[in-house]
Amino acid sequence: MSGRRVKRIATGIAAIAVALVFIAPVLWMVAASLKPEAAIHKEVDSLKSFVPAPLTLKNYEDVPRRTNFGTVLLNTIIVVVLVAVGGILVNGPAAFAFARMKFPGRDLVFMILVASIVLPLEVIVIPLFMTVRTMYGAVDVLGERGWTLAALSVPFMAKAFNIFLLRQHFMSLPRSLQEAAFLDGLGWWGVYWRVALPNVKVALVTVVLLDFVIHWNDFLWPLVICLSDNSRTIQLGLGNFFTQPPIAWGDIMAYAVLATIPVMVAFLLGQRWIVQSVAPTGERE
Amino acid sequence: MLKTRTGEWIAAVLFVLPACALIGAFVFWPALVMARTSLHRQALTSPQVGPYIGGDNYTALADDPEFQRAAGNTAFFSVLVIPFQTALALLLAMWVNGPRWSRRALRAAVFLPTTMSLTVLAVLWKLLYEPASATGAGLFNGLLASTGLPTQPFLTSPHQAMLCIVVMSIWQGVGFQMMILLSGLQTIPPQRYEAAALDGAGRLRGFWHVTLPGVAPTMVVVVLITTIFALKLFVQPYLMTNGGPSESTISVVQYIYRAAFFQRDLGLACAVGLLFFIVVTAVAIAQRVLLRRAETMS
Repeated sequence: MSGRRVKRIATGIAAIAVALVFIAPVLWMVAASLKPEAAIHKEVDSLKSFVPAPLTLKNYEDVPRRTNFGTVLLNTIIVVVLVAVGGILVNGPAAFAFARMKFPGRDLVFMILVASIVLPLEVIVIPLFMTVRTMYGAVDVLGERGWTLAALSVPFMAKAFNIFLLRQHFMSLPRSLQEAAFLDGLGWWGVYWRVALPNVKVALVTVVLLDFVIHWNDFLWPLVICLSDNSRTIQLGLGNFFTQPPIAWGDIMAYAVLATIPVMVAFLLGQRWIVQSVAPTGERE
Repeated sequence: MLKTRTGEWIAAVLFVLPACALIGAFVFWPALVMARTSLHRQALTSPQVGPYIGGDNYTALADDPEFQRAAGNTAFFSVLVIPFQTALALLLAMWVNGPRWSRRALRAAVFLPTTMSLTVLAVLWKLLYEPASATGAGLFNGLLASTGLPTQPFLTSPHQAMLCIVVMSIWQGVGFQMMILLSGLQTIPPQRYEAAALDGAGRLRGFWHVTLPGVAPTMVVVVLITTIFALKLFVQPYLMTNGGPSESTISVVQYIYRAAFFQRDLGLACAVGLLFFIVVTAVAIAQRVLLRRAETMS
């Protein structure tokens, strides 16, 4: 009995040690963002390194003072909202059609789309840049910043993975729902918009969250496409601030914390939904 | 009201068209542009397609030592990250598989870095890896010094820099793999373990005969994701070392970026992109074949 207890305590301590390995750097980042610059480089050899004393908010005041943080934050919000809203508008109906409607070539088209899921942006980043550049004429209408925000969002609205995920959920809806809607005189759009879509809320939240996280955190595409300071997104802003003298680590850590908070909040709010929708649907209910 | 078949066709086409048009324009069309451009000389600034030069971009690549460095570095990174991260993810998944609160807490802790952006973490780890100097040191060198061990150059050494990026990348990505493997573990019916135990199988044999076959299909997916994730290495070296020191961390994607925007040679960049495309496709096909085999195993 006591041997068992010792073992339980030992695994408990091991679990705490492993958890610390993953959390400690993040805690250190938060602590450093709250310290005066000189203190960050000292005390690195003790646990004091993780305690922000003396505590200061100066770094958080420096970020908007030294950078165009407000503009960059607004740009990022606009981009993720455009991708998410545009994504639902184009991926939703496509997923519904692939799941519920009959038309020639359906399975072939779906297969071709799904094949593109494994293709990372990195592979086609240069030709995508070339393709998007041919649409630069629209800059006359949108302005430089508007054009860049469009270039950051429109190419990523339609996503094969999101269509795939939504289709799975549309397929699991009972057929009777659809029949009843037709009897009520709804057309295909009505069935989709009023009956099917409200019944796949879990999947919708997941898709929006994934889009939010992916594009909030993206670095390469903004690096390639953003031409001016005012059209940057938040990660690119951080990457730029990181090398911009005078280098103040406290300020950089504060910027990093600010860039992280929205994603953390989104994850905490949405974690449950993501797990539910990605887990095999057969196991629910 | 009965719907006609043609009505359904027309509606379906309208439903599918916007998504197909966008994916066609921003995925498949660029892929074609890439194949064509890789056979032409094409400067960054010229809007027209340059002259056809056959396979010259590809032979230029074969002769370029920087490309060989980039390919070698990316291969080195992948060869370390794929097995170690997957094995670690499986160990962690088996550990955290259970309802006890300590397991849930560990799960959340390991998953935390996965939710953060690579940009933020690359910047953070660059600071953690700072070498010791007169003005201070990064956290890791501070810890080494306090335990009496010699401090290390880490990112400033051509021998250590890539290993540092490997460690940071595994730390960042393992939580995601762990979560996927965890969902795979949870599909294994507990009766199988009971049956194995009745047959007198110990823990190790239980792992070998029940856990591994049961988790094999998930494992194939995890390895595919990890492989593609490793091959597209970019943000970490770009921000932490900018490919250095002495090009010891330049990756294939950074090579593409430099070819396009520093050498201003889109043809060369597209040639690398096409090779990269072929590798990713080969990995995906291998995964499909393996997945089918793994599914018959479980």
